[in-house]
Amino acid sequence: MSRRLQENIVILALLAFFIMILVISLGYGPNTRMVPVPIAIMAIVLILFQFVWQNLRSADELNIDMLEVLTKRSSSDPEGAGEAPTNVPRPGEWGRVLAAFGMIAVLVVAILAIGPIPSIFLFTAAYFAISGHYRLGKAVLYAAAFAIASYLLFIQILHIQPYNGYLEPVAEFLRQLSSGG
Amino acid sequence: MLQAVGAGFTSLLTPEAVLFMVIGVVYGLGIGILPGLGGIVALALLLPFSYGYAPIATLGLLLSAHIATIWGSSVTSILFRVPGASKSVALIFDGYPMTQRGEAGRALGASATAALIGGLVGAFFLAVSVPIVRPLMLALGAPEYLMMALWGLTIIATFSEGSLPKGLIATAMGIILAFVGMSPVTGTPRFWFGSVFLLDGISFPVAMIGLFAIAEMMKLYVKGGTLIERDVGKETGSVTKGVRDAIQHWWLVVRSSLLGLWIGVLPGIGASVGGIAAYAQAAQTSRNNEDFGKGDVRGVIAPDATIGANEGGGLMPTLAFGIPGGESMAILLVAFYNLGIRPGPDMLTSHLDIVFAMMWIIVIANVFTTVIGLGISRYLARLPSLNPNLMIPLVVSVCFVGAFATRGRIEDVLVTAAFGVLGFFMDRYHYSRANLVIGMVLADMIERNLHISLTLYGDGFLLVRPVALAMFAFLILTTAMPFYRTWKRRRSVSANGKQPAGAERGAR
Repeated sequence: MSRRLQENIVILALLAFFIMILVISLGYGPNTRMVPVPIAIMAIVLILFQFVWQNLRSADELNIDMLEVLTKRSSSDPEGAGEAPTNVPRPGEWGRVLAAFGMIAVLVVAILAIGPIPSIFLFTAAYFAISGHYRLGKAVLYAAAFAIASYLLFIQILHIQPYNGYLEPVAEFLRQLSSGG
Repeated sequence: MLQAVGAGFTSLLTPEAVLFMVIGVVYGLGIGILPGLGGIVALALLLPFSYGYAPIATLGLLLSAHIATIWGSSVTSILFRVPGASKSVALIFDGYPMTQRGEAGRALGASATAALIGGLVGAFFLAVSVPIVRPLMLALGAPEYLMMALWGLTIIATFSEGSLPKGLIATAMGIILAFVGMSPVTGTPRFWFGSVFLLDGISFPVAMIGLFAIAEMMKLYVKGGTLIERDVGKETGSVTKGVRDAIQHWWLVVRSSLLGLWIGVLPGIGASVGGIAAYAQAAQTSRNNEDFGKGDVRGVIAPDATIGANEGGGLMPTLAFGIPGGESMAILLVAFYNLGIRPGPDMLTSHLDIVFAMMWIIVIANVFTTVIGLGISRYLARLPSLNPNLMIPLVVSVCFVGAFATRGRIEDVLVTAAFGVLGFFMDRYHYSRANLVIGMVLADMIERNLHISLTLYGDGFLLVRPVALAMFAFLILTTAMPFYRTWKRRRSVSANGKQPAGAERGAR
């Protein structure tokens, strides 16, 4: 997928977002929509301008860095040239992007299911082990130490009300056990 | 007044107060240095501890933690390109390139010293100006605050990374995202899609954690390798060189501190705009500014001095009128009420000792933070070389737990993830995340003050408020200035290009 096509997909997604905002805002009263409507209209105009701009200009001219304008830095500086590779996706990069999304999604689902502290234990242990940074035993040990430290900081010291998800019955049982003891 | 200054100082000479200040600084540095967790989260987490202790000691804990997180946020901007708070965004422009170049220690030394001097200037200002500034503050109304917020937006628009339209689109998105929840003016729910959770709006710290910290970790995962491509052994900058840099550029520090004071005094603006405005003024007014954005130490000194001084200025409207100077001040305001301190004119008369105690806390906390900060800077400078296989799971985990801890609502975990994905794509396609954040910060101020201006003064409110009109003219001037300079430069370049030909003709 070319860089220009990617940029076009993003800009069209933004256009859809702001059109949705505009339509929703028009349903509000005059005072409530006083700022959102002009902002949405301004954004739509800017999006259309950007859409035309990025399809008429060469790929190298898609971005104008205002920092360059203010500091009088030439876009031909070696540092500026370092940006060029971002326009060319590296082989297998989309696979890593999907894996990054997957990593975040797995952790979020785990937190919703069993709460933050058990989730970060499982997540860090699995990450350490799968990435090969530590062997399984060490990965579990360090992840457990990290989870305990997080528990002490957030739950015991800062008194954050814990969320246990599906583990709530277990947590309740432990609470009863400790209060009974 | 001198008696109150002395009384404020002696009230801090208790073991409990000193201990609380030290704990506050250490805690603040610890939280501030964690990428994505800034002063707002740190203060919010301390609020439950603001009961049951002596008010002055508790104020020492809260303010010290706040001061320390400010510098901690600068550290994450410089080392990781992850601002701990929106106020530290400007530090990534030059701080991070310095780290890449092997000058992290120098950047941290300059940052800590500039923040200390800025903090001292802020404290001094707080001491001398409480009785003086009150009439000025009362003279400013909603139209002036509206102009100030719009000025903040135009400043960031001209500083967009990437194209100007993309920067403005990001700003508009930030403003719209800030409107999720109940309208502060009409009480009407907006963009809530039937979700009770969204009625409370999107939590600013939660959005920040996702937009910067999670997105940066995703980027790091996709990129592979270390946080930044450099060898620890090649660290060439020293902390003392950074300290000398800050002292050498004393006039820049003073200018930036005064800017920070002014922005801090204006309620609702906060240091978010201040850091970027300081960077802009440093880039625009400094000689030999070609290195700005490439690792110029002045790009670190200016924002840090502004942010440091901002706290003294920010305390002024918070104490005198109960109007917070920024998001952190809003949390401090809640703590003041918890401690039985009622901001208002009384603070400037019968409770002047508390005001001066706070001034001394700012001074002492700044000194503690700088001493500790400079002491650990050489170790902090090695942090970016940590293996990503260690960094990613730990930082991502802390971010999600921190996001949950902000309000104790599990839905915030989803919001963090959503903003993480948004931040990842914004960075990939060069839509400025800083613009989005500042759009979010200023949205409420713009809407509220626009409504008040129209209600009080009608459609032509600018014409009946000369100060607002002057500010509007200033706004247009500062927005047009970079474009004028570019036009002028291009004209001179083209004139110089023609000159040799003309000279050649003349020679013949």
